[in-house]
Amino acid sequence: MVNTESHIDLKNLSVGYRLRGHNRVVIPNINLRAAKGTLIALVGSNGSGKSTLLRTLVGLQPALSGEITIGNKPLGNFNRPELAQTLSFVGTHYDMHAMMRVHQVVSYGRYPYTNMVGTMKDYDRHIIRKAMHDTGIFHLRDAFISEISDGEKQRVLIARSLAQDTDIILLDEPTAYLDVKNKFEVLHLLGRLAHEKQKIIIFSSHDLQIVLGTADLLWFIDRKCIIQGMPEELVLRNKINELFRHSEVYFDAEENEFKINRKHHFDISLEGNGIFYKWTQKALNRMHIGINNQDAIGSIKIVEKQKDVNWKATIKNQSKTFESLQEMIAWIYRHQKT
Amino acid sequence: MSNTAKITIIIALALVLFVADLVLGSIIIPLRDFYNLLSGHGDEPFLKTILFNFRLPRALTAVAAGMALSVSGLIMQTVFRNPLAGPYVLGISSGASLGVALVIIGFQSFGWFSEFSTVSNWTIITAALIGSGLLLMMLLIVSTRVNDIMTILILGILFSSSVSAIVSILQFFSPEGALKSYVIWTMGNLGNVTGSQLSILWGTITAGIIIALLNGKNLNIMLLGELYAKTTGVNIFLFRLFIFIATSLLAGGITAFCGPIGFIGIAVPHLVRLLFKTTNHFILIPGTLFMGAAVMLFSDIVAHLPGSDRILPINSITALLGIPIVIWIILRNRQLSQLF
Repeated sequence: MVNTESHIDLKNLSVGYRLRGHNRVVIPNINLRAAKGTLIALVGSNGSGKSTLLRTLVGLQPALSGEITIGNKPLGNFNRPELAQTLSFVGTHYDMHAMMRVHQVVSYGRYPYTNMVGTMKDYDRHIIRKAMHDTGIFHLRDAFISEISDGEKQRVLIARSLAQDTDIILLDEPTAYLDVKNKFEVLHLLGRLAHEKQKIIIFSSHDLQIVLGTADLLWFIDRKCIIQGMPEELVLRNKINELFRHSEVYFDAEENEFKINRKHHFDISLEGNGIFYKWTQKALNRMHIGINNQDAIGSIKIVEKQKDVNWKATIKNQSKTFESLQEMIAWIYRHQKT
Repeated sequence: MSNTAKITIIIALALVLFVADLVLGSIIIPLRDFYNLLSGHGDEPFLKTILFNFRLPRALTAVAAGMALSVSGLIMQTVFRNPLAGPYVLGISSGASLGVALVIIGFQSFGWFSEFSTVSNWTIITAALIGSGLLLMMLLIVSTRVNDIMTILILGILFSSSVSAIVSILQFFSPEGALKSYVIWTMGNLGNVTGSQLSILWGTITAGIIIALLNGKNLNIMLLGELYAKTTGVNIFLFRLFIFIATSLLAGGITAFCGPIGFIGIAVPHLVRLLFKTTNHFILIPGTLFMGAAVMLFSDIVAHLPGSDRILPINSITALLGIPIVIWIILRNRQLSQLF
């Protein structure tokens, strides 16, 4: 690590592309600060400039104007080895050479510190082992990349950046192509690393729902603007829903989930409790049936038995009890027409 | 088996084949005579001439060619992350062939040389070096404006295709004798390098191998992708420049002195990767050096059909040996592209 007092400052930063002498600004005038010990999620819809900003932060493309400083030193003043010891990057995992072994990939993180032929000293080996322990992949150290799962591959790349021993880690879509369990685990791991090792970790993501529960801070890109705030705060200020202004999707802050505004074909009344009520309602809504006591074409009563559940539906004097939600909804549709 | 053991076996194999290449040929030198000649007790001037003036330079050239082509094939496969890449993807052999076609065919057609024999060995070497050097330079200039390595690969292929087209035109208008001389050059020849040429060849490829070894770290991280290389502090432009220089020294040097020799450069790196099950270039480069030497020596022994007077073109033998290796590797891995 080169800087001990690290923080990243973005001052009047404009990011974008230079095309034949013209600047195509993707996000203008960014003013942000990231302090150590924080996990920051860069969120925004597709094409909002997440990758452009991330690439600019890594130094892979020049800023159009403004300045990025790391610990008060401008990014441009870092030479290559210095930058490689200050800032590491984790890209996508599906492009890795299948015949590399896990410990080999992790060891590449030490390259900014080793001599021309990459001789590893005891300290380097220690850091590599520690990085594999910290990311929970030590037992996989001799496996080939082709033999491990996508979630494990992502951990290998994170371990590699830990071995690079930088104050700052930037990750491009670390949760892409992972299942829900792995998404949570990888983000939880990043949060732990940020807090325990006092790093600045910035990752881009469009998994808003998962990010809301794991990141310390959101950098929320909306209409060429970046709003910074704790996820909870952005939810309370209803900022999340501004992302979906022109869409049928909305964020239900109470339930911490995304929903779709659906037109209902007809309404029905629903009687029941707790979790059964909630999930029955979800299923009915998805099938375009609203829950309403007025103008209801019929009623559903949820009957809880010890471990099981039944639904009793009544439409136009006809009643039937169902063990399957699917069959009931089909029955309702058949009978509301007649 | 450890990597050291594997390397030792390959080196031993290369040594055995080296001796075999010296001993076998149209005249088979008995091992006792061979030993006597080496220790300076031999009194057979005929065998001595064969051994020291013909077979030793040829075997040393074979070793150089095998090493240089295999290592440059390896680094090209890594840089382009393409299993089909080889020493000639950048257009080195077509550039060289244009130079050689110009001197052999062009000069003779224009009447600058009355007979092929006046085109000296050095003229051909110089022409090949200038041809491949110019083509590589063009590609390098274009590649400073291009970021994507695949674009450079495609440009290399396009450049060499257009150069081949020019060579075809030259061939079409060439007199029969010149055409034959040119075609024979394209078949490769390990037996033309002698004396000072041999030292120049070895100097050239030693420089190329050292540059490749010094870039071992960069080659390793290249397999994670260029983004990782850049963020680990690799200067991509300098790296590409060094790789271009190494390839032109290795493949360009061999092509200039021996003509284009195919398939070794593609097949040997795969063979070594499969044998060592690693992507670490600090193991792969030594591995390909000696495996390349062994395969080339073996090809040379086969080309000389021990016991007979006839010699087959070396390029056909390397193709006939190399293609089955490549096919075997493809069938073994089924999804070769996954490895890159």
